[in-house]
Amino acid sequence: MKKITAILIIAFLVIGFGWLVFYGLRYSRGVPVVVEEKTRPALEAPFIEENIYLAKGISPQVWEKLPAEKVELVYQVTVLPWPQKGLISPITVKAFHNKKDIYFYISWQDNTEDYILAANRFSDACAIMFPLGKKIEPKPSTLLMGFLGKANIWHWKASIDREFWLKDFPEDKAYVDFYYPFEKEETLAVSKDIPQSAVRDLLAIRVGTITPKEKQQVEGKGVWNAGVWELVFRRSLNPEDVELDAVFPSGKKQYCAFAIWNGSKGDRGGKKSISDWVELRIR
Amino acid sequence: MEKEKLFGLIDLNWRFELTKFKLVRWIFKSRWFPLLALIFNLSVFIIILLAGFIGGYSAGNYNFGVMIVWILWWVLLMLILVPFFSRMWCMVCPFPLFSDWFQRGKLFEINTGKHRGLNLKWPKHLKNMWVMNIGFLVTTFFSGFFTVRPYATFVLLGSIILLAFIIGLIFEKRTFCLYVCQVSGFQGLYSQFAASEIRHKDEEICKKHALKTCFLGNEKGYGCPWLLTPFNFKKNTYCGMCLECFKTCPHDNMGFFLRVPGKDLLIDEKRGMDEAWKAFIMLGIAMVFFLSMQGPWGILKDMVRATTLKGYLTFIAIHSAFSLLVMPGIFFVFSYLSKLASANKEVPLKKVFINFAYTLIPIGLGVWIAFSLGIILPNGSYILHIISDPFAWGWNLFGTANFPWTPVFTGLLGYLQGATLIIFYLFSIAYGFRLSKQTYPDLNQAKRGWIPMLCFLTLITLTFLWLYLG
Repeated sequence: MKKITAILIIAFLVIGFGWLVFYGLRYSRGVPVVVEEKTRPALEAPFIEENIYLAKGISPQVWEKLPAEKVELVYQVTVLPWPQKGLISPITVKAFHNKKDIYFYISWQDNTEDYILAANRFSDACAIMFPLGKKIEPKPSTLLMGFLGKANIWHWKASIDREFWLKDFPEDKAYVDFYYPFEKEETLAVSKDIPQSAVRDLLAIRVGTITPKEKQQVEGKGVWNAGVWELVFRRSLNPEDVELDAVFPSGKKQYCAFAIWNGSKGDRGGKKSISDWVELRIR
Repeated sequence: MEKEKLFGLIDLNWRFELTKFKLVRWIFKSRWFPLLALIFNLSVFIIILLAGFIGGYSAGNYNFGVMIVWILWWVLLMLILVPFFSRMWCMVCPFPLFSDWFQRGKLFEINTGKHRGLNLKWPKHLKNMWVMNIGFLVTTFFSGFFTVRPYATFVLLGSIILLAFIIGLIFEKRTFCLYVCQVSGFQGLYSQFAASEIRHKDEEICKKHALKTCFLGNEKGYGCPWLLTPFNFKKNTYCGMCLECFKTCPHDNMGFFLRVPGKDLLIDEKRGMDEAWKAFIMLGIAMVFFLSMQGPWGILKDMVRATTLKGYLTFIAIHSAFSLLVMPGIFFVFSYLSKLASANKEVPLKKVFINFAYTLIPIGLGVWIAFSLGIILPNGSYILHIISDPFAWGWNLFGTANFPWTPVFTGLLGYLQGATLIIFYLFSIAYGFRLSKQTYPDLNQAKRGWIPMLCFLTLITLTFLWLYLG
């Protein structure tokens, strides 16, 4: 074979493959089509001149006059075993602000009030997740907390709620549960944390990074009555640090997603029911 | 070969010929084998390429190409083919099929005349593993894309097939497989540990056979396409198991043997820096792959997936430095300590470094087997989906398209990985001391010189145990 023949064959093949790669880069994922944006549930957060003193209760009379949004939840799909049994859906959500604080109300059906943590016993819980970042937009998925983007998460737990509001601490049965009286003098935590609020104010920047924030700013209170949980979150409307705290810009879009843990069905950690992003309209 | 027993149990020279069974020998001598297996494999690869190129919208886990190549093939390779059957993948690999066909002008029959193409010799200074070392390392820079973007797998496989053809057009025979193919290098390295080998049966018959048809070829088959001399080769490293020597030997003097795993590690032939570095690179890549693919560190995943250019370049820099410099650097320190401990001033440090690098082959293979278990057990169930819907077009060919993701035995994963690492660590130790005896002429020197290397192997094993078991 002559060299020139070999060169010509090589050139033909390289150019052919190069063209194929170029063509593929443009069309391998299919011809671009216009995908209709699905309608998201929208949660109105109007201004009303009300304050709720959580120490006294969740003020049902305030919430009664506010518009409610039903939000569908699905079970967290990446968690075994199937079929999942703990799905809670739908939930009712409401919100308002008084220019100083913003309040969220969430209620859902749950026949058992689970607030005791013990071997194979888990607490009911609820969380709201807000995307963080300069450009507020919903990430492609709410699958995992912090998945594909930074998020601020408010996590309420029935067991902590009971300890915080009712000072009802579970009977200590194991050494690790005892509170060490000189805790504050230790460099590192050596025993159980005493809750500063019924809600933990958390930050996640990607999967596996969920971390309590240094400054806890969210309060909350849950009430279980006749098979229904009613829960209220409260935080200052204005964030202290826009990098770490959810922002609620008036007249602009914000998004939030909800998660519910059904303790009696074994929900804990990643086992939970989750919603898609819900549009939050601050008026 | 020393008349010694591995772990005090099996004679290192033990081997059992599988080709003494008539059926096996008949298959090995038939021209249909491995051609039919090659053609079947090629058809699978065509589906893989098509799935990458025209497959529907799908993530990696629901794409035929990604699942077959990076989950099934990789795991089969590391878990079964290389440890048990040496370079059997090369026997059925479709990548060089087109260049073989072009060179020979025939697919099935024998062309005893001159082969087509330029038939040049590969440059002498590149007749080693360095091109494959760098090629494989560079390929891993894109690991974050191959496993999640089907199109990246298409580009990679397409490029390899194209490159194999171009090299076959310019250079003689299987030059591509010998010196360029990214998959070939690590198979060659780890096949030294394999539990099987192709060798001549009786040395005397080969000596008396003046016309070396296994090398030159005859009307029954081609002279070794891998440019080896089957009548006297001693290591699996460069034998692509194409079986031509079975077909061309008029005395049926080639055999396929089961043997003690790792026997080749003690063959002091063609040992060199290229193979030593291959061992370092493979260990380094295993560590980086585990951290980025199976570890909980999201920041590493972001870097490997090129979420930001800076992060991606950082990944490439750290990954390369770790595999090419840090690992060999640490090993060099231990080699130096070995020489110091042995108190032997005659043995060159280079020899100590190279010889002991072969102790990394068993543990390296063990690390990759453990890594492969971490791939197949959680993700294997996706294969049931993709065989029913290979192009992500909504097909359900075998009724398994809706089979849910079902991790298998993941509760045992840590134990399996731990046990694998410990078993292969023991192999490394078993061969390590023998390599020490090869390196240092005096037994006491060998014992003393072995201690630092034993520490290094223990350190490496503990590091991977910590990584895998947490």
